[in-house]
Amino acid sequence: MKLFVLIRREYLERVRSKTFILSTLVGLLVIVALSFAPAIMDKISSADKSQIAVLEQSGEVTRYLAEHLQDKLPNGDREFSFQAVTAGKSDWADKRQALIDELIAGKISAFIEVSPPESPAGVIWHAKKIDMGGASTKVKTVLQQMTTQQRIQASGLSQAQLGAIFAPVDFKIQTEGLKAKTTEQQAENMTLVYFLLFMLYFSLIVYGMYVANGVIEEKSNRVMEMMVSTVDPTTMMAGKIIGVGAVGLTQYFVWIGTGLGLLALKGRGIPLLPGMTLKLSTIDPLYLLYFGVFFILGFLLYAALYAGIGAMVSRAEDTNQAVSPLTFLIVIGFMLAMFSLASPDNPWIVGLSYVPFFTPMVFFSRIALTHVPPLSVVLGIMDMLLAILLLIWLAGKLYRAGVLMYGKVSWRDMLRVLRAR
Amino acid sequence: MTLELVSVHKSFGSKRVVDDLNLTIPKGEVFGFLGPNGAGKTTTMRMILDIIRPDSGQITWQGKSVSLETARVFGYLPEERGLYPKMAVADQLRFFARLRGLSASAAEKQINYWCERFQLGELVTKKANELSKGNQQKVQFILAILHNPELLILDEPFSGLDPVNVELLKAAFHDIASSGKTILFSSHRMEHVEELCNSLCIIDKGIVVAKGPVGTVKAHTGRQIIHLSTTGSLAFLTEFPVDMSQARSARNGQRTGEPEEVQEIEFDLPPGIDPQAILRSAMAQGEVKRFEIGAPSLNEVFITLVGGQQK
Repeated sequence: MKLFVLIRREYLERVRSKTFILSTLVGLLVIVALSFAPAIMDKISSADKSQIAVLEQSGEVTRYLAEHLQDKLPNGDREFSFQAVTAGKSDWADKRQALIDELIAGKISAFIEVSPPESPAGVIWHAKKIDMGGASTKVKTVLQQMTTQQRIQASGLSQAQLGAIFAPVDFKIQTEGLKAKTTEQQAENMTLVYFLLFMLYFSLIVYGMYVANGVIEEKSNRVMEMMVSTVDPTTMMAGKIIGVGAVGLTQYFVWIGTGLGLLALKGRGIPLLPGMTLKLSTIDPLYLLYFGVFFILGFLLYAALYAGIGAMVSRAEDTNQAVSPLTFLIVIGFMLAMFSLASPDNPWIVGLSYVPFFTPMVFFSRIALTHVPPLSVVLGIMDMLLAILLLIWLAGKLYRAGVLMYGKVSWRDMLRVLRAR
Repeated sequence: MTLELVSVHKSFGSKRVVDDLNLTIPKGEVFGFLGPNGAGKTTTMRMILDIIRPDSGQITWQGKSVSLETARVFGYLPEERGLYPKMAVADQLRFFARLRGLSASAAEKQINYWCERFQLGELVTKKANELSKGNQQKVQFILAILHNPELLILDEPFSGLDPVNVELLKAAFHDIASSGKTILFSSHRMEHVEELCNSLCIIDKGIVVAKGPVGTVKAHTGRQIIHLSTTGSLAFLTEFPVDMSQARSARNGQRTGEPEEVQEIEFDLPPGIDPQAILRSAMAQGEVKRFEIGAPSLNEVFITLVGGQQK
């Protein structure tokens, strides 16, 4: 009953606050922007058409390039168009000068000199800019391929022999013990886990600070004195933590709901990073469930820590410094989880995933990426629950003691408080 | 049915804040708790509420050691604000009422009654930090009494209130006291204490310097004050010998509306002197408008007891 009153206050006061409404809206905006960003990026890169002139003697190279370099832009147009400019030894220099003028005037994006008179075996790429791994590299690769073929043919091998030489090895990846059956699926799972880990990381820090600030607010306004003489500190702590947690969940429902909706609308998925695409079809509802479980557990654990630290701080300005050890713990947990993305079965990772501070992030990534026996999952969750109960009780004690601690609180003071009844 | 403190000690570090405090406050009494700043009043109140615990000694309410359990039937008004600054006043009142176990409808009834009585009106929809200090104080007082507590502990309830609000609060005091509740309050305003209390206690540096019914405390110093108004000269007083440097006098006839010049003086009766002799001498000098022998005001007693020691 009292717990409910406390939770209600925490929840309503926060959900009604400008900060909450604003941050939820900003988050929504980011999600919507993220889902439309690929389309916008496509539009921008679609303007990247390359008009390439090829200065050569026969026009043969141009045909080969046009045939073998058919990269498409996101909007379906071809990225490269080649235009042959044939010249003999006599008019080579004039044609080249004309092309240079065109290039500088911006009429073409680049031009290639194939076997110019001064170096018969060479190719020169003329461009206004130095591009990294872009058009010049692609053209070079195709030309290399062309030359190799010509040379092999010149050596007298038959087409069949050629085919045999270039036949690729039949290399398949078949994973055992991993959740995903194929590499693509694994990559997609990793994308999802990566994304959710990031959310977990942020929310632990953000909502943890909510709790710490809530405690400090009560302390600096002496509401704490009223509270301590009304409810027992463990109930107080539990109410505050659950209330703020419910606020976090509300925000997530809004965000994840919108995110899933957008994903459903856009069947082909949202690329978060190059090579990491989030698709609705790959989201296993079980992951979201586990995410929920570990979000709640992780939040409870860190919220208790944040609340305990908040109780020891007396001035709002000192908060950031005081909570920095917790930020460290969360960052370490996040790094371990990142590492576990690559090797979820590393014995160190497995061991550390049972350390309550790291469990929410590391265990979550392990569950999502590899087979964890159900017993271990239960063990991991129980282990966290135990730590949470202990920490909430501890935070309650610190809160109770923190009422009268104004000014600097030493570790010795804290220990004395904890030893008292 | 009493609050009892038996040889309570409390130190913060090496500083003794409360030293061997013994108090008994019977049910239904209005008890004034006086002392200069830093005397240990707030600490004592916090110990009664079990916010902090004494180093030694016992505090009991109706025979039971104070704890969170007993604190639930106490109402508390802390000296500094104990309000959520950004929460609407009405929500705040509802929250604390519910937290103290009132049903939603009972809470609403109490809140409406007290808000009306304290003329808060539209202010209840505002956030606490948008209210003036006096209005916050009224809200804080309502918070303390919403759940109809058996013992009301008020730390400086009158601070920041204008005279109109002081009267509202005094009336509430009377009502609460006459319904059999016990009130323990601290104040620096002696006239409030004198007017409201049955008994009181003055502490200084954690030690009780005087306690008992108001009359007893006022007689505590053994001083007698003579108040004299006369049209005659006051020069004769030096013969008694009255310490004129300690006397407070006024030469002012307008106050009583009398045409002739009246001199008023208030002084300590010198030890061993018969006040009647002073009266006779005064009558020989001129017309005596007023002659009064009385105990010093609480204010003076307080200054004598506490201020004297500081010198």
